Amino acid sequence: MNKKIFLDKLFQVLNYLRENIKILFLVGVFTGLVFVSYYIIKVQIIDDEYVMAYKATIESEIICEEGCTLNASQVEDMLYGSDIKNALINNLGSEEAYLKCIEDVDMKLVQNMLTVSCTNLNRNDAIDFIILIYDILSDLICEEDKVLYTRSNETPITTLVRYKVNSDKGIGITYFAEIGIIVGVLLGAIVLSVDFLTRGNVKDELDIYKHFNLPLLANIPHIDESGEEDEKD
Amino acid sequence: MKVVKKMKRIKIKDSMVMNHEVELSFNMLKSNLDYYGNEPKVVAVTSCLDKEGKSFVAYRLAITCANAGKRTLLLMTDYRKTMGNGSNTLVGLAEMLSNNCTLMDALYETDIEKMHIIFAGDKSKDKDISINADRLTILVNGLKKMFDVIIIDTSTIGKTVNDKAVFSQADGAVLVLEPDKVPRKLIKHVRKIIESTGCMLFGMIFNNKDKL
Repeated sequence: MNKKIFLDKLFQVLNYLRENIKILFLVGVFTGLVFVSYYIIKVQIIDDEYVMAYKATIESEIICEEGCTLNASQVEDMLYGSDIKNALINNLGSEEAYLKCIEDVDMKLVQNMLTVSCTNLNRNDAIDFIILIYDILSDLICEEDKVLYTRSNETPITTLVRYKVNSDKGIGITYFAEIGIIVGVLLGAIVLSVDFLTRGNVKDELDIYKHFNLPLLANIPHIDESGEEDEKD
Repeated sequence: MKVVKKMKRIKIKDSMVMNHEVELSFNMLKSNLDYYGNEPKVVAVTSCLDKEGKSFVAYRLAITCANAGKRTLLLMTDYRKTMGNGSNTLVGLAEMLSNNCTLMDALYETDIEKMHIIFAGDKSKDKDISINADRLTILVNGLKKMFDVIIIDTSTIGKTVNDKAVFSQADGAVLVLEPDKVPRKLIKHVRKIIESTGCMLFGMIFNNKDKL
């Protein structure tokens, strides 16, 4: 009995959704557009400057000259010391940007190899930062490599800087649109179903009596165009 | 010499076959109206929403009353849409209330014995035309003497400005609705409007228009 009631309700809900298929379609399209707008504004415009970089980790290795005396504490001093700080502030434009940059930079010295990792930084900022480190460390860098790390020579830099990009642009605009439409249709269906199941429509004679204390004077059966009445259970 | 005008006669378009079940339900409606409404003379048929079948119910109820031997009048008051009007302009209530025709011009005999119709009138005119309540009262009082039952096919409540004028003429009203289509709040609102005119709401009629 309960199963029958459940199936009846399900059938009614599906029928209601079918009747409102246009609304579902419009909600789906609207949500798709919202998702696409979000993609364009947030991912394409804002992320291009900053946010997208959080997905990129840029590493560079600087090979120091043999016999250099650079040690871990010197590296730390370099990073937080006034020389590099001033250079970075100058380069990044503000102290705030410098602090943000420092949070996302890791420098490790293993033997004569200095690894600079920039995470959560805009790719261009990261490259600038690494170049800056190269400039500051220019005295310590091998003579044969030194030329490669200068700002003016771009080609070697791009070959030396290794990008670890998990996903440069994330999911594409078409996926955003598809997901938006699916989410919109699902949300619309849920809202319509809840509305159907909870709305206070008059459904039967009992409803009329209960809520209005009035009689049902007649129940006219369905007549189709050929004049035949609907079959009743 | 006095010229006696002959009443116009109209053949009712019977597009729907009245099967046994439907006939039974209208007989039941008539009996229930007699019982609950204490044999009302003027019954208004209305609905909360458009296209719920109030014109069909009014028309069939009028036929049922006429078939029961009562002198019946179907008075259509919905200028926006009238049954049997078609594309031809049929003079009716609108013309009568604006003194453009007489009762004899607007009253139509039908091929159903004892059933008469007054159409709403020229629907090419302003759809929001307002009914002169005083004239309507005089007219309905006159018609009460001529007929045993007057069925008023009204417009959907709230759609025109004539609700008060029309419902105040009726002894009671019946509300036509499709099951599970009309919110309770709307029915309560409509009931309030009807009862504020001094008209009693006799009950409701389920018109199962659509198959589930």
